[in-house]
Amino acid sequence: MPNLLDIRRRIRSVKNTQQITKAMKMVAASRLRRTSDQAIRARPYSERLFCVHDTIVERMPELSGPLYRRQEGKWLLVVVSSDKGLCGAFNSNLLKAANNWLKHKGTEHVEVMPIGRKATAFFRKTPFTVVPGLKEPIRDVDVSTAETVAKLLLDRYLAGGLQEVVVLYNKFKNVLVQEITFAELLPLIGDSRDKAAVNGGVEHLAEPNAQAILDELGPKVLLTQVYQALMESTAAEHAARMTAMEAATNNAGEMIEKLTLDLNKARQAAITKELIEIVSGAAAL
Amino acid sequence: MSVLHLEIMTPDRVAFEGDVSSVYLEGSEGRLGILPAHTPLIATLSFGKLRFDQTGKPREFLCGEGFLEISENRASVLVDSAEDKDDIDQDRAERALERARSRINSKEADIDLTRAEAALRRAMARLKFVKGE
Repeated sequence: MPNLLDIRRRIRSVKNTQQITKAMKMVAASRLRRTSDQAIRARPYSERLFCVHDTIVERMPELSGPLYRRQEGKWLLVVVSSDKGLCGAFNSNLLKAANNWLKHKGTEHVEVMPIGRKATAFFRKTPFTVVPGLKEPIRDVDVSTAETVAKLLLDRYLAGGLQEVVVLYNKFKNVLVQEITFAELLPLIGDSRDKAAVNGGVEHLAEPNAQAILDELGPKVLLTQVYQALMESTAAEHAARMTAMEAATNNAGEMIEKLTLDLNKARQAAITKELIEIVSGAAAL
Repeated sequence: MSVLHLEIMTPDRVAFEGDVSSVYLEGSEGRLGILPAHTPLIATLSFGKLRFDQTGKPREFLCGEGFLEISENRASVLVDSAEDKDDIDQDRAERALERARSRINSKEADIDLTRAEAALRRAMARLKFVKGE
């Protein structure tokens, strides 16, 4: 027969865990609101910037500049993970996708730049060449974090030997769904020829000239893409954590119910036993 | 009266959006004045003051480097930063000014002089802007 004291102890411990998961859920929910607001506020700038970039790219007869040239060489995959765990399958799905992609390209043709502690720890144990990413864990994503990452990428790309830089991150689709997304960062190719047409297809005057604008615009486009990926990933992380912690809280609740039932059964059994003992003791007299 | 739709956007927010009658801003090739029905234009902007008139009321922002795009009577200003007079922290700007000065004057070799000078110029511009000069 289960010991009453043991069951009580179990219940207490599960209750404590439930309190923690509940608190984490609330924290994740408030962070999620903040980060998704931030991502939404940043959208007009990036949309406009990409649009202007496409317009300029469209009118250039040929693209020159190191950011637009396709070179021979390796692939660099930037993997944006989280720093902390307890967010469901957020990191494991991402790392699995990264691993498959890298294996598919072939170990000797790839380099990987992990962002976030989870990815850094993961790729330490893999045979792929690792390019060091951010030194500090990301607390709040801001433009300067993105600047640091973009600068690292730019330096690595301009050093040569890379044919393409791709970023892999969890895109925040909605609170329940994170979508694993690959996005091409470099070289910067205006991938959407028809978008410029949507922009009116008007001939813009350029000041000082199209090439000079493009030289400044290129790094900004890269920066904005990195910034967006980081923001999406953080929002997705908090969403994943919120869902995971919600499930954990519910499970703990179920467990408490079951344990309480067991406790009551055991208590009743003990009372019944004692009564039988008293009654049979009295009968024996 | 004809108007021009102006949007001032930075990487983290939309600083201003609305109809204005004129915009003056700091282009990399010199100051630009934009009136309604301007011809389509893309230009680079340098750090400086942006002024616009919203039905008689002038307003000013201090903008970082960036781009200006005009098409279909819509002007989009895409800049690194856009600060209203209230957004600027005077103490912070003064501290930044001090920091930049001491960096330029120090004799250490590992100083990025162009960056320090740019920081100095920005800090001075901020202070001037706050004091309404």
